[in-house]
This record gives sequence, C-alpha cells and structure tokens, in this order.
Amino acid sequence: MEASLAASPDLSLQLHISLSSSAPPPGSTASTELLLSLLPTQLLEQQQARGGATFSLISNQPSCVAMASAAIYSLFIINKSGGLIYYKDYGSAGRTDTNDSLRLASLWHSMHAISQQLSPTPGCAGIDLLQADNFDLHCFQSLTGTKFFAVCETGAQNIEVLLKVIYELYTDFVLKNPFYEMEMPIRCELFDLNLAQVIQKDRVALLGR
Amino acid sequence: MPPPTAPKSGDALFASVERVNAELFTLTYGAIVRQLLTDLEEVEEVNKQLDQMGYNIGTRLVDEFLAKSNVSRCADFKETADVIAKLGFKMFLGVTATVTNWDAEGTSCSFVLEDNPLVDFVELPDTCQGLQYCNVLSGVIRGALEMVSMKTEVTWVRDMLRGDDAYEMRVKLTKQVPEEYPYKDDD
Repeated sequence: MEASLAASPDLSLQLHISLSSSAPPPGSTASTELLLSLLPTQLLEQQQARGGATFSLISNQPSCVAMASAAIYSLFIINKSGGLIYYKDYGSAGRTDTNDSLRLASLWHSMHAISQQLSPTPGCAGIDLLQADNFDLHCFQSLTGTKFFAVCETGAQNIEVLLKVIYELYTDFVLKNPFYEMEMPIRCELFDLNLAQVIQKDRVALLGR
Repeated sequence: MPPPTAPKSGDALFASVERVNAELFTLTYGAIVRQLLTDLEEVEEVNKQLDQMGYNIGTRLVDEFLAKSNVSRCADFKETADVIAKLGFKMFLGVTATVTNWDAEGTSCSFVLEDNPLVDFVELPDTCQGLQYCNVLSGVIRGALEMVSMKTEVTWVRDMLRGDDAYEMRVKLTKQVPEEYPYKDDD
C-alpha cells in the first residue's frame, strides 16, 4: 500500500492511498474507513478508481497542515528553579531512565541560562532550537520561567505550536487543579490524558506514522 | 491550529474564554467572606486571609493569562500596568480598569475600577468597618506579578463600599528581581 500527500493551490490537503494489488484485500475498506474516522478532516470527495484500488481524500481544513509533522521523541517540563516536573517519552527512541532525565533537565536549565549571558545581542531569552544530527530540541519558556522542551526528529515542523498548546494544557489541567502544589512534579491524570490526545491527534493529522 | 500571532485585544480575550454566571460568582465570593468572618472573627485577620487567597490564585492565574493572551515581555512597569488594566481585568472580571496617578519614577500607579462584579448587591454593616471586601484582588495582582519577577505592594485607596465613588488600588513596585543563574560566584 502506498500513501502520498499533496497540497493543492487552494490549500486543501489531498491524501491518496493506493493499494498495490488490483483487488483490494479483504478488510481494506474497513481499515480505510477507520483511518478516515480518525482524521480530523471533512471528507469532501471519495473517489474510487477503476479496479477499486485507489481512494482520494480531500480535506478543506488547511489548519491540519500547520500541525507538527514529525515524531516527537520526548517531552520535558521544568520549573523555574530547573527541577524536572514532567517527563514523557514516545517510543523507544526517546526513552531515558528517571535519573538521566533529571540530569538532562537540570543540564538544559543551566545551558539555557548560560546562553542568555553568552548571547552577543542584548535581551536574549535563551535557546529556542538545538539542531543535531539525529534530533532537534525545541524549547519554549513562559514568562514565568517554566520551560517546555521537546526532543524530536530532525526537520520536525511546527513543534513551537505544539509546545504552546502543551503550555495551555498545563495552565488548564495542572495549575487549575487545587491539589497540585506549585513547582512540584506533575501527577495530574487529566493532564496526561489531554496531552496524549493532543499528541495522538497531531500524529494522525498527517498520515504516514 | 494557526500559529500564535499578535496579542489579542481585551474584548477578543473576554469573548474567547469560558464565562460563568455573574451571580454565582458574586454569591460564592460573598459566602467565602462571610465564612471567613465567622471563622476568624477579627476583621484584620480576614483581610490577611483574603490577601493570601488572592496571592495563591494570582500565582496560578498569571500562566493562564500569558498562555491565552499571547502578550510578549513588557518593556517597563508602565506597560505592565496597562496590560493588567486593559487585558487582565477584562479577561477575568469582564471590566476594564484605568491606570492613573503615576509617580515620578514610574514605579507606582493606581488602578481605578468603576465597576466591580465582586461587590454587586453588597453593603458593609457597621460591625465590619475595617473590612477590605475586595482584598482578594490585591492578592491576585501581587501573586501574579511575583511570578514574573516583580515584587509589589498593593493597598486600597478608595472603596465604594465605604462611600467613595470608585475602587482604587495603589500598586507599588518595590523590587524587580530577574531570575539570574547564580553563575557569577568567584569562589
């Protein structure tokens, strides 16, 4: 099975799925329908080519193009004193054990602070993006000093948007929880749930995961 | 989701957040104050508790405000005061405050509120004359500003429940403490 994505001039997203064999294997229609139901797009056209082996989906929601289009390996949230308050990894590529993640977080906090002093231009707010051979690290710091950073694959797009969405989830499900103590590790189920939903939606938005 | 662009205006912000029934808000706040008076009996103690409650609210509220309003770092305290008056009060209370009475150094100003949803239908009895009914608001401002590294003192100058014509709170910036990495130690 092959899938390809094309953006047309009218900003609609076209997804073409074609099955390699001329006769679609049993269950493929069902799985394609399942796929369609996961996509946050409105199905405008569903064409079936001759032989019943090609489907086209045209989305009228150009906004999904703006979603992050690559895999995020792990997410860290650190409080204003540099302590790790949340860590989540997605897949084995990003996995580190607890001690390593704590060490990474404090290391990043220090590097971020040092970079502000090293910067040749005044008023630098710290490192936004670190690009390496095998990964990119995007960082977002709120004006209150809380840092959200994500390790993702190279060339990941729109991770900053994703980090802002995660910041909003933090303000909703963590800070508004009266039993959450400020600056302490986050143990809020609603936050985990909604975060998982956002990441999942983000992955499904562009097929090919 | 479109990438975050310019900060929103006060009205746009107010329209974009979920709102609650104003009566419920007023009644809940009134119940809190009454309960505190019953528990603590001393008007000064109640004032302190309201301020502390406001402080705890403010420390959490500021991130919500920053996330939803997309404001960038303010250049000086004047800009901060404007943002609080136009966007902050509008977003959370639905009313705009005016900023007046700046002192010479630009570190002290007054927020004047003509309209205050906390005090709808409220009249202070003679037994509670020292009560700062809206003291939670001063705590909120103090808590919120502390989270963005500004230490302030907030006091009430005018109070409609005491017979004045508007609510005026005086905010004084005492210290600006930017979080600096303690890297300059020479030991």
